[in-house]
Amino acid sequence: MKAHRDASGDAVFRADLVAIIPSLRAFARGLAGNRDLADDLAQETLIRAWAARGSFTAGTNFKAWIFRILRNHFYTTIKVSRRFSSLDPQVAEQMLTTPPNQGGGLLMADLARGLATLSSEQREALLLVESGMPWDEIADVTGVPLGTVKSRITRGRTALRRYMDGPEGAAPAGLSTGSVARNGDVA
Amino acid sequence: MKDKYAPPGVGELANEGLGAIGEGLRQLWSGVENEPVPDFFLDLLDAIDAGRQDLSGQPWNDHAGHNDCVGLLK
Repeated sequence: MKAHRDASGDAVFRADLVAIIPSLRAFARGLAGNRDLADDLAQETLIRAWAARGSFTAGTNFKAWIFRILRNHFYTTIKVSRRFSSLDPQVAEQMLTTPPNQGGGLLMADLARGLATLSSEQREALLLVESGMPWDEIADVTGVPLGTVKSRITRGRTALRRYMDGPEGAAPAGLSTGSVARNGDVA
Repeated sequence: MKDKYAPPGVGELANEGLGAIGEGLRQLWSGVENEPVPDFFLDLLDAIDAGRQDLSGQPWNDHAGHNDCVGLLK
């Protein structure tokens, strides 16, 4: 299939880029945790995607393709530079758009902090699945087998629930893990 | 399944279980998605589209699409 190489193809590609920016920012925010650094990551992804537009096959999954570019850039450049080798829980609330000054806001702030305690691999898998991305596409984006994706999601959910439960309210590990595992097996 | 072992006062999300956590994550995601896109993103695309940036190390000579897609940014 013809790639985005001519003027009309570039226009279509540009429209695709414009349309994907909000999702790209959300994914970058989830990975980086910091608004400014996430936007840097998203912008660099746009540049790289444009430069590589000839390798994208029109009609294939554009979202998975560009998310993969973003993720690869995060892991190969940003994470290696150790600017944020792990997401800082203190800045995790920057993921929120609503100030945590209400009951729901407090819960969301807790959730953001809990998310920051996960490994970046678990965090990205959880965010992608909750964004509505199918399991197989997550496997494609992250470059790991489907079973690994399911495992990361299951473990991420378990860890997040334990964080939300807190030390005093922690449910028995076996029960919690079992519940999550059943949930994780449902595609 | 209801967590019958959950003690009282563990917090709303814990009581509601994984469904609430999933909903919370979706809200985090959609919260960012629904933010207005900063102008600098569109400025960047303008610059890229105009061929003013050559990050691949090769000249981009085809600027014909620029005028066609300016409207996409408005």
